[in-house]
Amino acid sequence: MHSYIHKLLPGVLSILILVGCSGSGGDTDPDPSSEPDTAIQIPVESKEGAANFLAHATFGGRKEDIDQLLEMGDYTIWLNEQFQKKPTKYLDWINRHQGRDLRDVVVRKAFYNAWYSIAVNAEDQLRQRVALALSEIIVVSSIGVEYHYPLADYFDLLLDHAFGNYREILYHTALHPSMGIYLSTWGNMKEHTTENGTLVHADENYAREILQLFSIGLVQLELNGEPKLLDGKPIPTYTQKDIEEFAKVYTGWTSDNGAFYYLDGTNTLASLVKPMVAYEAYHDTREKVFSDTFNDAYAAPQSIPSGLSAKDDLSYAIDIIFNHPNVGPYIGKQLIQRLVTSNPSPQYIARVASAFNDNGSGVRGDMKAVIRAVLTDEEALLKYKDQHPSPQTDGKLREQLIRIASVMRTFHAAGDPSISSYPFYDFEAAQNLGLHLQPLAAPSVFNYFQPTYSPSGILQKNNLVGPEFKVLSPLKMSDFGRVMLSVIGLTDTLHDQIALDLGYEKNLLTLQGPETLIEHLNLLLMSGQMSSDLKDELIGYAATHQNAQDITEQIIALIVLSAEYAIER
Amino acid sequence: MKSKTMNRRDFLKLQASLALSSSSLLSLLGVFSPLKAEEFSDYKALVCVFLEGGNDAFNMIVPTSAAAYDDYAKIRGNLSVSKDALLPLKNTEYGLFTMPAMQEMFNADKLAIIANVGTLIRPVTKEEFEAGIAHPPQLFSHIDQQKQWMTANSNTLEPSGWAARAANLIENRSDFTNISVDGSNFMQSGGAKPAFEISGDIRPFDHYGYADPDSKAAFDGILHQIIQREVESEHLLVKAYADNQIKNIDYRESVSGALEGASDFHFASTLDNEPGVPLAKQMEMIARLISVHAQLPNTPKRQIFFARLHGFDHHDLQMTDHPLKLNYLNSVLREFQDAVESMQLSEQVTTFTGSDFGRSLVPNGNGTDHGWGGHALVMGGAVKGGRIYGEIPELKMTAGGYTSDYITKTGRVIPTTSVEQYLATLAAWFGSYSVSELESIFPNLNGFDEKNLGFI
Repeated sequence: MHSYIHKLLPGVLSILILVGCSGSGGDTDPDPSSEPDTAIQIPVESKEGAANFLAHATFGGRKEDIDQLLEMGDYTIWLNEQFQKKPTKYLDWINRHQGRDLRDVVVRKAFYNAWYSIAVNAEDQLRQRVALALSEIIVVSSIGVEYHYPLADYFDLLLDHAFGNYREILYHTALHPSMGIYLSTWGNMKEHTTENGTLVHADENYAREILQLFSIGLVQLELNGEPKLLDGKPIPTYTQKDIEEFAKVYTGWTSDNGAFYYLDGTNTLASLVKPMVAYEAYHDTREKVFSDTFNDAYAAPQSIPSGLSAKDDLSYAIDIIFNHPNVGPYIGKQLIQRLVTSNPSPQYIARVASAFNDNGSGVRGDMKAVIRAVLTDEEALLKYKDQHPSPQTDGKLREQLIRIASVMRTFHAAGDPSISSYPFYDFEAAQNLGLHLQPLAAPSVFNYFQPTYSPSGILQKNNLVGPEFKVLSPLKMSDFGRVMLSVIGLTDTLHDQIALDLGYEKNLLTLQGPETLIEHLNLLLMSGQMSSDLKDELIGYAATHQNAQDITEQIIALIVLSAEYAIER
Repeated sequence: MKSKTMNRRDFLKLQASLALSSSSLLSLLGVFSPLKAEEFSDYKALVCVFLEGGNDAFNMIVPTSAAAYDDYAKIRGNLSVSKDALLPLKNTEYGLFTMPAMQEMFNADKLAIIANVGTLIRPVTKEEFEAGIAHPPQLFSHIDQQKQWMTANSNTLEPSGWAARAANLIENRSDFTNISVDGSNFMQSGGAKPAFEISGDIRPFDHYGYADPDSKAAFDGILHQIIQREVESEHLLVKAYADNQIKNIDYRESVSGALEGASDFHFASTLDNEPGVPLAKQMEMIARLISVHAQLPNTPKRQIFFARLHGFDHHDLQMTDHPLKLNYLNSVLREFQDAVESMQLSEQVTTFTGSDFGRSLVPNGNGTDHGWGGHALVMGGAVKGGRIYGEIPELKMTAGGYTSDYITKTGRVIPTTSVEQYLATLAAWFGSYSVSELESIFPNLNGFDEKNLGFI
């Protein structure tokens, strides 16, 4: 019988039963940002516009959400209301549902159930969407961090800072034990020589990834995301030497456990949900000096003075990285890709990057300003559809997690509490069906899909990216189809049946006929953008199969499996 | 004529220019021809069984002679395997632990052991290692080492897998040249064609598991109609998605049709609590696919399969768990080889193992930390078995430390054979590639003297 006591590499972890541990997230939105700008007005033009906006900003607009947004009358008002909502947190959910049993096999299941439950029901929809997006950029994963308890806390951290400042996101994620373990800063010692005479270097893992993935990328960028060119070639942002210099910074940190791992190695789950602490003896206090390549992007050469504490060193380094001109376009573009469209125009990117650089009140990195810029841009709102610069290539393939969650949310899914203690979604059964995609479970720090992924075929030929296509290759279509059919209720292969509440829809069909039902589904699922071809096909099918007991479910399934729906625009 | 050593850029330029003036260019370069001029007349398959997590190979193959065993036991302490459990390998001073079928195959010359293979930029000694030079990046990181094994180019951040690059050189390459039964992997990605992924566990094209067959037919019918229209969409992402759906339908028809005629292999090996899709199921699927390779679209003559046995990261509980995994692996490999032999394809199918790394020789309690070099197994009728290829470092420690030049102070074994050399030997058998072609598949092969280890 395989025991579930693992070792963290290479320390020893013993799982203790916890009572009332606290999250490491701290205060919500403690970061510098502006007051919500109520002067800007962006009227809601139609219910289709409202539905489209909610598709980008939430896990799906239910009928009542669309009605409510329409009544608010203004996208800015909706955003401001969402900005005020407190986060629904994962560790709380897990503690409430798990109590004292914190074995990872149990916590893992709770974590995934929490995710779906929160996506479907929670009120802080925008915050949850943004945290998911951030988790796909500043990646940590259960493949690497073997415990879901600290992973849940990491997600909570992203929730706390989703509407704060990107600088703080960089700083606090650096200190989360999940990140420490995932990218080896945890227990990372400054360069030293062992008793045997072996020279041991500081680990460079985090130093590399924070630059390559979480902030500036590999090449210098213009404000609009295009690579800067020198003699026709892109300009690298950093060299190996810079990695080594930054690596010196991320030394001396370990979980708050009473000992640096190397000496003792006993860690508790409690220590993994608090920020890491510094052991100055293991921290490299030498000056950090960067290369000409790195400094090229700055007005003056960057360096970090010698003699700083681990904390001050980290703060200094994060400031340097945060102030690199690349961050706005590099991160801004990815947020556009996660929320709205895979192939934004350079102008769209520039508008978002500008909001990152200055929120209008002189603050850099204001997440509220960036989110506002992403969601209310003329390329995001349906009302400007006729002026869209590239209508045949806009939008994105709906991410699997969101695609499933939105069907559940739109139709008020409720689990069957009599089957299991989790009111939601049996993760193991779904895995057996063929769903292998979960939050914070990416196969690598490059996430399930990279922002630059271009599938072979027509997209590659036209220099377009489609990151989400990476996990939905032709050969995964059947798997995904099976999952969706089960969620909708056409098959019962999922152990815990998720009952969608289709009472309203069934009534509509009975009392008013197929056309009305399909118009209703068109609004809820496709923001009113269903093609007339698809409408005709569905109406025709519904009319000839009206007596089938599950015709409503079938219609929904046909929409959800169609390519038109799959691509959210 | 001395053949020019080409780097990849030269090779790619050459491929482009060959389209314009083939014969003159070919004659200039003598025997070099990047595209196979003629179809392969025979069928060959490589089957990779990747031991994910880092297999403790130094407990899989253990010295049997008295003094050497004692030295080994002293180093490995509570992790050392019992001498009585060792199964002697003929003409060697080593034995296999808990793998009786593999012993049998070794002694029947159908299994070769490739000693102490691992990721290397170039050959390196322990002094160089301690000085921090010339070793692959992110040496003890699972994901990086798995990647380096699978991309077979430790010198750089190689984005494509070696199997993808090998497939690129096959003229008749198709979506079925590279097949994975355990999901996407670095070894098979980044090539001109993606790998065909098929789960070993679930029935492959259980297309929409809809209960009532009449309803299913109607539902499927209208769905296909919708998809066929969407393929003509002017919206490029919609079209791309519909294209994928069509491919799915095509594969469903062709592959599941072919599979219906497959040999009905059922492997009985099991392992309690095996993570992921059971290896037995994965290998069963590979055997089935091999049995109908001639019925697959494009009739591939060359195929590379990828399977994975999870759970070798024995930081803990190694003594209880590792033997079970080795024994299970032994059992599955036996069943697979039996299946291959029943198809009379023993000379044509070669199975080989790989792993992120070996383990540290020194225990850390009741487990081991990440190591570096480890041993690989190669199995099949074409293999020149019954031999250990390469060097197993002496596992001996004195007051002055490890006697071997290839064991570091912290008990990691530095590879004496590189992943490139190992895989290039397999690739040479597989695709009959020339040395230049092999160097384009394995750009780092030039760092090593022996480019073919001669085990197949």
